[in-house]
Amino acid sequence: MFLLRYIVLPPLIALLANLLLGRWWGRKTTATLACGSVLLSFLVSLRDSYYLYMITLPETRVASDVMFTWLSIGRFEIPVEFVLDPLSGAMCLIITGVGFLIHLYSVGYMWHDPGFRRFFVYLNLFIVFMLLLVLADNLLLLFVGWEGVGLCSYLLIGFWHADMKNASAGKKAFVVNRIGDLGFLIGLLLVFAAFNTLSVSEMQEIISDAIARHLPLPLAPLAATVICLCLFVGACGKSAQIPLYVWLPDAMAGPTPVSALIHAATMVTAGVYMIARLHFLYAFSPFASGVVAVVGAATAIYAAIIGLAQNDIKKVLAYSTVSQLGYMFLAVGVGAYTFGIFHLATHAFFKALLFLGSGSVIHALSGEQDLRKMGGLCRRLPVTFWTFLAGTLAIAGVWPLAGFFSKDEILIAARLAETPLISGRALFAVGLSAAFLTAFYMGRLFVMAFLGPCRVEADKQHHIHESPWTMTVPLIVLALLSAVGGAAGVYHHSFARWLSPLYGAPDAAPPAVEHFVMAASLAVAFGGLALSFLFYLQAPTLPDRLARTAGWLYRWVAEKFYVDELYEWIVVRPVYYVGVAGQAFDKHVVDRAVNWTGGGLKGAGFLLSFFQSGNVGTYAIWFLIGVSILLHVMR
Amino acid sequence: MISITAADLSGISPALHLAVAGIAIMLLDALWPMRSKLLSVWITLAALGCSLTTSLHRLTAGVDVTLFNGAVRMDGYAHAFSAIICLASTLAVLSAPKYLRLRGVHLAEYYALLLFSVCGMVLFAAAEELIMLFLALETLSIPVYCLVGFTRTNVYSTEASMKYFVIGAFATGFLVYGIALLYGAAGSGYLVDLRAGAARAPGLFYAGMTLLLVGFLFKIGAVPFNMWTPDAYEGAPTPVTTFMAEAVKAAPFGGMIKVLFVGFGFDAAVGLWQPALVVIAVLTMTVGNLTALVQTDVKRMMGYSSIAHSGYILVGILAASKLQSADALAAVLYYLFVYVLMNAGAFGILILFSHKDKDTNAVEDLTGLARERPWAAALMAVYMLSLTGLPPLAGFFGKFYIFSYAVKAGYVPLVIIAILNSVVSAYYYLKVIVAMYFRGPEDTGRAAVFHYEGYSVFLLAMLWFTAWGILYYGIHSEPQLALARLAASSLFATAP
Amino acid sequence: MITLQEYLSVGALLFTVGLLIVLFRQNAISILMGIELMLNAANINFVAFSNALGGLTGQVLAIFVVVAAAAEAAVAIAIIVLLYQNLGTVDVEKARNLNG
Repeated sequence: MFLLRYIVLPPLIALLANLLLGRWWGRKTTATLACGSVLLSFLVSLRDSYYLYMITLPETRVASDVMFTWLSIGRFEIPVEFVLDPLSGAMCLIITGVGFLIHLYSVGYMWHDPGFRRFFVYLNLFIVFMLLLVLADNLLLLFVGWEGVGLCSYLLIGFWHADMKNASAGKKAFVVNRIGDLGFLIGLLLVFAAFNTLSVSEMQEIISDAIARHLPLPLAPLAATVICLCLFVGACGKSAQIPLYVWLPDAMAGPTPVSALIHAATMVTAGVYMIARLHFLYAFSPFASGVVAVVGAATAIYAAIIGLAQNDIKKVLAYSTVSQLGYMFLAVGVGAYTFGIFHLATHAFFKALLFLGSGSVIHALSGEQDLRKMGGLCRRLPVTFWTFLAGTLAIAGVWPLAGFFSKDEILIAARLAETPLISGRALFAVGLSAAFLTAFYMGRLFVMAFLGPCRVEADKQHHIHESPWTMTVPLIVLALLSAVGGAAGVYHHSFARWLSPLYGAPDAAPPAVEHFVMAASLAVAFGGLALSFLFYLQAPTLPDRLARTAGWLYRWVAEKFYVDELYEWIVVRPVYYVGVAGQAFDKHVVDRAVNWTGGGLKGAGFLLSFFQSGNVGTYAIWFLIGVSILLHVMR
Repeated sequence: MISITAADLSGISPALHLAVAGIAIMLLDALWPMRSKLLSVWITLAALGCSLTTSLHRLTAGVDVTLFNGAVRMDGYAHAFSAIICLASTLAVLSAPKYLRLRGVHLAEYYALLLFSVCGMVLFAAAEELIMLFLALETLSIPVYCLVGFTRTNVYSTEASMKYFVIGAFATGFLVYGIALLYGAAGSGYLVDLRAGAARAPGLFYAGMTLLLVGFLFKIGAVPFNMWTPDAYEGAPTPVTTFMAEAVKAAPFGGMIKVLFVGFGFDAAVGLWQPALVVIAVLTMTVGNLTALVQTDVKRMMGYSSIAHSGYILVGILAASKLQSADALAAVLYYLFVYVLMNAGAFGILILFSHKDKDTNAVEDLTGLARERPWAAALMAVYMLSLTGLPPLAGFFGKFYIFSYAVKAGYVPLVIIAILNSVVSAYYYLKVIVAMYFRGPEDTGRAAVFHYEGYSVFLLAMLWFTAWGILYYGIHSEPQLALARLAASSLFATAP
Repeated sequence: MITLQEYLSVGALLFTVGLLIVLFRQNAISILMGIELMLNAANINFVAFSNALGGLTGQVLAIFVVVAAAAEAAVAIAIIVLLYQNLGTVDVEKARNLNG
């Protein structure tokens, strides 16, 4: 007996209660309800996943729960159906588990904020939509979750909307995501045109049926490529890949727990999840998979380079997230879905930890986010320091912490990959370089924040305090997970075996490759860390001197390659100016033109410049032109 | 001998209720002027309610009668349009009293004029014959000219009325001329006979068809016959704008679809209207959305937005004509229903915060609304997000159904243009949300006041109902779609 | 004998004259007169077709058009009076506050 709907319902009920009745009870009740409901969801998912595990035949490990029929067009029906299989089970555990810890942390972090209740309502709503996204069998329902998490992200980025910058960051996130969603929506329509259904399980059945009976597939290779690429555009928007990554760094304007939950651990991984869910489509299109891998690898190194030159603690982590997401796309692009999801899980642990740790630092320093004004915090914030150390080592890929195992597996898969676009060696080289840069910028962040002399402004010095228990307990739990999560996943291949009903058992890599990759990734991890310690602890003047000698290069990187400015110039302004130009054109050109050419203006070019002058005679003339053209055409 | 029977009268009772109520209000106002205002609101609501329930009842019962020697046919299609229009008008009436009282023009004529116009709308979708079509169109148009200029001392209102009238009458001139040519070509005024004219006198027929189509395109605000729309929407009193944006917008589609499908048909030789409509749909969507981008006045912006929405509906009509499927036409009816809800709500919020001396129309006027009036801001956000087409709101499903049928019909480039357009539209709808939620008086430099002047229960009921409808019918669209399919299949039963 | 063609030509001519008046006159009353001409051009067609085809439909149509035109004229005059009261002119070019 599975209780799938009871995974989603608790946070929904809690948020409704807090929304409607919250004003009559205090913060404690609000917080208890919000956190308790997510904990309950976590326990139910744990229970259901355990039941799933108890099913003997791995292939039949699927449970579904139909709540009601949502809509139907003729024979085409969309039920609200939840499906739990090993993949969605793992996702649910991550979302509710990490989600619970972050809820708990937020209680301390947001305690003094006037929008306390609103914050938890949004946070619970986010959990509901995210669970909907991963549990949905139907792509349309998935899309509802997809848009819902986007909306929550938008609301939470602009949570402190009194600051205009935050509001516009929220808007930027929304608009960029709409561009991605456009691709996703076109992909959905094409999927529907090809399969006549949007249910993932039915699509899979159609394909396996066609293969079993040697029928022609419902999907030509070209169509599969187009569909996969359209869906990938959607994934790029949500998961912040090149070229749609621009919103994520700005999204750091939101409260830090939001960055940890939405912009590191869960929502931004939705794109990876979606591709892993539709792996059978990508199997048809090596080209689209290759594109995914290349974009992933490019994003991994590109964002890592930008991360080197950021001075805002959260910006560094944001670019790091973009870069790590690139790793996940690299993995799913080369067909290593298991390891992509594995990295998703370990990344959720250590990146949530790092964000929460940075939140703890920011909290202690009364809102200071500039790394140059930190330093020497190791003794003042011991818990944060030690947990942050665990997170740093984990993301840098130091054995035996979580990041080492997942990153290692991805690099092996990349090394052995055969894509039509690029050789596996090149992907591997890019991935390894990105790993080096990751170790370097994380070492830099760690040294600048916690070691060395204290550069905190004098008036903030005496405020520095360790955070309350609601904030430190999640840090400790996440630190433990970051430490042992990876080892537990590779122990007897437990994670790979759990996902094997979907992706089959992973092939064992040749030992030579395995050992080589392992040695190389350990070398770059220690190398990067050591170099950063050398630069920023031993010889703090060295980076500045380097920056001065390679001034333009440094500035180029520090300004994020000027991509925001580029977008402003090639996308935002033209669209705006077309509108303004239209209006001006109308006022200054159309009126005069109409007077001397009478009704003689014709042609499609002029049809496009129909604008209002306020003169009713002009309207009549345009009307007549329309009639003349129609009369001419419809003969 | 032609005679009017009791069956005829009972058959058109959805329209008759309205006409009788309108006349009753005029008499009441003459005999008992002191009490006529509030009473006429109730009479209007009762008449609209009667028509609505009668139409819905007959729609579900499958009533299909041909009346007045074949001039009018009350079938599922006509009843469905009657129901949509009565719902739309009810919402518009609910939003009127508060605004009119503030402007000091709360007069009984308002409701009488509105009822006459609605009566014309109901008959417009039921007309089977050119005389009837023309009369219904005039009955629906002329009262609206008066309503637009209803705040008589307001310069903008008068100007809007003048412009709407001049362009409207101009369009009527073309329409009547077109009817004359069609009649000459076909030798009969009945819609089903029109197609024969294509073979008999092609020159006359095609010219007539074009001019008739122009009359319809003017009414729905399609480019290039759209230029009156923003001016009339901006200048009209806001409740009239509400009425124009939903009822006066939805009704012409009733006549238009019928004339296109039943009168001209889908035969390739006669169906020349399809390629022309493709181009017009693209232009309408694009021009409407692009121009809306630079607007600062919500009413005017909504005018352009309504132009863009006409474009989306044209896409749906094209899909239905290509597929010749009742399901596809049902998607159009569903879209109209949803569109009515969204627009009524959006204008309702503007009316809610109108003051005695000043309207609240500019986007800037809504700055900081979320802090002062969180519920009103939430409602407005629902309307705007639904207009943007965000799931799971009803607006998304309206678009989704239309677009998916259009894809099925093979209009893939058209759908891509439509989706691009709806992305562009997100920008200006979002502008309203940004003003409400993310900006405050500190950004505009002046304190906005959001107090309810002239509290109206009618208006609040309307706002909550529309928001509820957008949320509820997004999730449970099936009953609505089933009714729409019923209506659409009755039209296809008569189409060739 | 006057042929159908000749009737239709007169109708078309009348329609064009009305059209040009609406397009190029700024006086609201002139515009109203232009619109009346357009409607009556259609009426000539109705009657001519009715004569050519036999039957009364066309003539009935013409009568209804006359009725509708009268109603439109009544409303139009009211609007023009309002225009004069509010703007002090019946020149439609002067009424262009609503634009953009």
